[in-house]
Amino acid sequence: MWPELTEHELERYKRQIQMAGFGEESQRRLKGASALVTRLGGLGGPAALYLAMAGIGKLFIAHGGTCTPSNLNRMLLMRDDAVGRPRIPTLEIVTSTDYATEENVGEWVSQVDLVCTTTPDFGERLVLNRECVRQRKPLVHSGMNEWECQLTVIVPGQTPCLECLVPEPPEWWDPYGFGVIGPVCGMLGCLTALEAIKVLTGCAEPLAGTILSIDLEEMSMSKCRPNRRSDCGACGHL
Amino acid sequence: MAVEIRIPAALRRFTGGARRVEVAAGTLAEVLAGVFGQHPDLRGRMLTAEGGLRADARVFIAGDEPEQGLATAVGDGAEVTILPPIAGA
Repeated sequence: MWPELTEHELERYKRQIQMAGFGEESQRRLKGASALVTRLGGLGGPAALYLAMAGIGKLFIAHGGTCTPSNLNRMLLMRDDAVGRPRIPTLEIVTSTDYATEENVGEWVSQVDLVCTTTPDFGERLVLNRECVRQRKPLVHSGMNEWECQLTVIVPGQTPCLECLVPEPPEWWDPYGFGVIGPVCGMLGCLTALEAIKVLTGCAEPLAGTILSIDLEEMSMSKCRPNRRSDCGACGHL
Repeated sequence: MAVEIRIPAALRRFTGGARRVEVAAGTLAEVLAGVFGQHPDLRGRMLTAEGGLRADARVFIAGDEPEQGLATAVGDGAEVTILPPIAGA
């Protein structure tokens, strides 16, 4: 069963508990749930922050390397006194200063109920995707470029996986060369957290098998429904 | 009427910055040929050497993948979406 809520938690989360379709049960599910957020950049930072603020029980956050000046136009958690500190007293935070690799993702993914992949590196995303497929864990895939965003939820065996969509890293994508402004990442990070909350609580309809495409320059959005690939190297056997 | 295709930001370097392309209706192959006629550099980002759609070049018609691939008919005013993979963060 899901953990009980304390009086403090009932008060803290009462404004979301009162939402139609959410309720106390969803809050309890969230308290008992865990998620891995790989990289705490302009996208993963807000995603992790909003998952924590919404009351998730355990957050595993990982980001290798060190902060550089060009990160600071969007990375809201990139301060010495901010990274790794819990914002609610009941939240368990696990951190890693490594990037996701084939060597560590098995252990990482085994510790959580869901993964948010918020890295600019397609190779890293594909490694996480393969592990999520292997362990049958849902994956929230979100990415941006300049004014544009894409967001989808991958449920192994039910929806196209990331490798169905991107069999290998596109040679034209530069993981450290895309244009980026903070509010675009911030908005997508919030939507990433929202999709994770939907999956973890079972409330509302997540974007499973649907890619939400958003153009924030023109303020337009559309949905596309990709097909699974029967010859997919990651999920074709499911 | 024709078919207007929006070019995503990630592919605009291959269209000289053009954001939209208008081409005549037809099959998806003919529509894309119309796009490549105006922006030849885009061909290699969308098609394989054999002329098929690249695995990472997703094209949707009214939100769905074309059931008959490049032979799928694209009518006047159809909503054609090119969705390249992006991973900015």
